[in-house]
Amino acid sequence: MRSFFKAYKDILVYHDYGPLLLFWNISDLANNRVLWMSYGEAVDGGNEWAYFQYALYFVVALGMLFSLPNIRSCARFVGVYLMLYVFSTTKFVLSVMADPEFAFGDVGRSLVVTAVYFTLWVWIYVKMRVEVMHKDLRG
Amino acid sequence: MDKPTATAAIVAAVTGVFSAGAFKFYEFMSRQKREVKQEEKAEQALYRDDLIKRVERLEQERDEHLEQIIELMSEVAGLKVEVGYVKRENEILKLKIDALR
Repeated sequence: MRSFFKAYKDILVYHDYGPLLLFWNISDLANNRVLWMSYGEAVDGGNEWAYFQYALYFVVALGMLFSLPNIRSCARFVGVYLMLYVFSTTKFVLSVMADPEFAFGDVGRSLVVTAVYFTLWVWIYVKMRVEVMHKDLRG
Repeated sequence: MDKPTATAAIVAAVTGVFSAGAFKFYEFMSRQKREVKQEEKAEQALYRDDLIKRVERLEQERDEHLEQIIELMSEVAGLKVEVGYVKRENEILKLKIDALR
């Protein structure tokens, strides 16, 4: 049983994030609402702030995709992405607290999914920063 | 900018600053750890190099002593032969003296 859990720990510690980041990034770009909604539609729905937010996500995700071979720059984009993540989650939570009608679906489920994705991005970010640090230390 | 947006922006900025600080601290600790390890390695290398030098010097001394022993052994062999001749000559002289008496 112990070795079973150790295998999971080893996956988290030793396995590489590169392919995961690439596929996740592509999926993130393809899922971005900027591609599937025009600015006019967002304005009509009163969601222009959300549209800007998605546009920012899109730009950062594009930056991530194109800087993937350069780990130092890519880590910066992932850092910005995480900041955006914190920003949008906090905004969502505050908006729901102020107006419970704000959320369309189940808030708890959305937060759990967000927490899992957040953990994933933090794991990728930490791995990248540690790799950059070891590269710097080696000279 | 409405209140939730401003608060969210502040929370994101604070999170960013704190996590950057935490990572800098982790980086500092890792650098220190690595430096200590490198110092230990350098000390070990110094000790190893000293041992190698000592072994080289001892081997050289051993070779020199072996050569000296070989030289001494050949000299001793020569001296043994000489002593044998001297003893025989001495016996002959003793016999000659006895004959003269």
